[in-house]
Amino acid sequence: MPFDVIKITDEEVAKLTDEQLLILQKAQQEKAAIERDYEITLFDERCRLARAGVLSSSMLYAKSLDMQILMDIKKAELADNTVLMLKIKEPKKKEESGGTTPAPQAPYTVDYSLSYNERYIIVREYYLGISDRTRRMQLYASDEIAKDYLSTYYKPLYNVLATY
Amino acid sequence: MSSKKTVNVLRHVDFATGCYVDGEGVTLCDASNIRRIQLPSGEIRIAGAEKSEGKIFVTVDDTVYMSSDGVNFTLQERMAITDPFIFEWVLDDKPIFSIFSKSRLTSYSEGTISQNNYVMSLRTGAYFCDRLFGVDYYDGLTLRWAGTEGFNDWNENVRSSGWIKLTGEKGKIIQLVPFKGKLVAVCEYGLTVIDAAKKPEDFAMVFVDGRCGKIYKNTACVVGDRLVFYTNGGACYFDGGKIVRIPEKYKVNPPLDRPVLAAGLNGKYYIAGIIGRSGDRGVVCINLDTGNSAVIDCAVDALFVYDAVYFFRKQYMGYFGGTGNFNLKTKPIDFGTDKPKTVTSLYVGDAPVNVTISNGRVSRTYSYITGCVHPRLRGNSFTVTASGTCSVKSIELTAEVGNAV
Repeated sequence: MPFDVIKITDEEVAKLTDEQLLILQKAQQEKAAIERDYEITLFDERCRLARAGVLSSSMLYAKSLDMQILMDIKKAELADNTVLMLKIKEPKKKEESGGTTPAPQAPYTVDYSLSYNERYIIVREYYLGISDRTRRMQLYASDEIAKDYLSTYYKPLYNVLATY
Repeated sequence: MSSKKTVNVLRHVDFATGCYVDGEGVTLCDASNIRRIQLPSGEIRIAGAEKSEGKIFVTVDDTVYMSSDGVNFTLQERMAITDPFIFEWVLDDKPIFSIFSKSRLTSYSEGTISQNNYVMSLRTGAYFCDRLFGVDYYDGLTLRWAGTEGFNDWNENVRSSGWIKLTGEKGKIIQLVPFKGKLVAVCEYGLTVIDAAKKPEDFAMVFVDGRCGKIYKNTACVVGDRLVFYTNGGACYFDGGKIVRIPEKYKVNPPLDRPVLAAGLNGKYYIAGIIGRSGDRGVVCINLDTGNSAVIDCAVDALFVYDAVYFFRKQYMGYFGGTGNFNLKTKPIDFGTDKPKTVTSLYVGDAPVNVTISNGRVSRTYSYITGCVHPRLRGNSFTVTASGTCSVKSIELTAEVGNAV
């Protein structure tokens, strides 16, 4: 079964314990349910607009964009929780020497020990502080640190920053 | 053996100008108070009066002029005039009068005039529920609305700006008219009502039933509780539920050709176009309650409503009302028989009128008469022409039918 609820390779899946695999499978099913809900709600919205005589309008696209953002946030939260649960259920390893990996340089706090929600808020607050929308979006699009730091939260935040 | 017969001349009118005619009499309806104004010559496209101070605005070629007294007009702003529309709105409790043309807006408020350029080009539009609605300048089937942040807020999202595209079965949108709490899109071949008094995501469209033929642009306006418009089959109105054709009680005059603009007030609908009978430009005033119509022999370039329906005609301005001049001419009156008869009396009730009665060979003219005159005119049929400056209750002809003079 291919897993895309979080970024994980086949080799990494093979190394998971049974308990971790169950967590991953359940998360994958929840992701499918989120996507199914999105499709059903979008279909209902299309029917509602058709009944109102306004199917050929900007409303369906605008509504689907809003719904897409919400869906992406839900999927990002699910991914965040799944990663956390997998980490909790990880078999104990020997401590490696050398201390923590030095944080990459960024204009906002980069702390990989924080949850994805907390990271999202930090990066969002930094970029909303840039009032010029064009410059804000250019900086965010070229921010490689944010892409890795936020993982699946990166795209939803892009859509949010574009609307302010 | 002869008998006396009396006919009501007003029931035989063939053509009349400057008045309504029905069995109850002649009621004046003509252009009044026509005065020369200080305005450059040029093409007049649109005019309006802002409600709070009574200032009058008119566009001549690509310039907006304003007047406080209805006589002297001063240049205000230059703007290319292309399918302009006028609307009044309120911002921060201040009333604003605006003329929108393609993507430029000229506004007047409390002594200040300003002009702005916008990113969206609109062909016709209306201000409704704190939003600017307009038809896309390049696509007559697409209705657009700005967001609530202002006339340059065209970022599309669920709560802000957006558009609806009509299917095209009723043709392109030619006017937008707020009516009874909804926005009516007047299309080339029908009406579509948009329930836009809510959030954009809840907008709904209702297609109005009822065939009405081809609707002429710039002829739709609200008169009382009716949205009146002119079609190739005559005048119609929308009452909020269905389209009703206005009964053609005005068979005195033939319909209007090529109507170009309209305005309405106090139950009367004024439509400017080509008068079918004369081929000249004129105005027809339709009384929406009675269905009667009056032809006004007055070419107009623009109409607007303030406390009356006003018009511009080149460098003149006036309004329509119950004063002026009327002229009428009857069809041949034969008193119901083709036998020779003698008209013995002509009676004009209550107001002085100039009357000419003719049997086709001989005419008798009476100037400024009331009461009874005795033409003693013999013939098979008679035509009467009359003119005056007052409403008249009756004009009657009496003849002795079947005797010899």
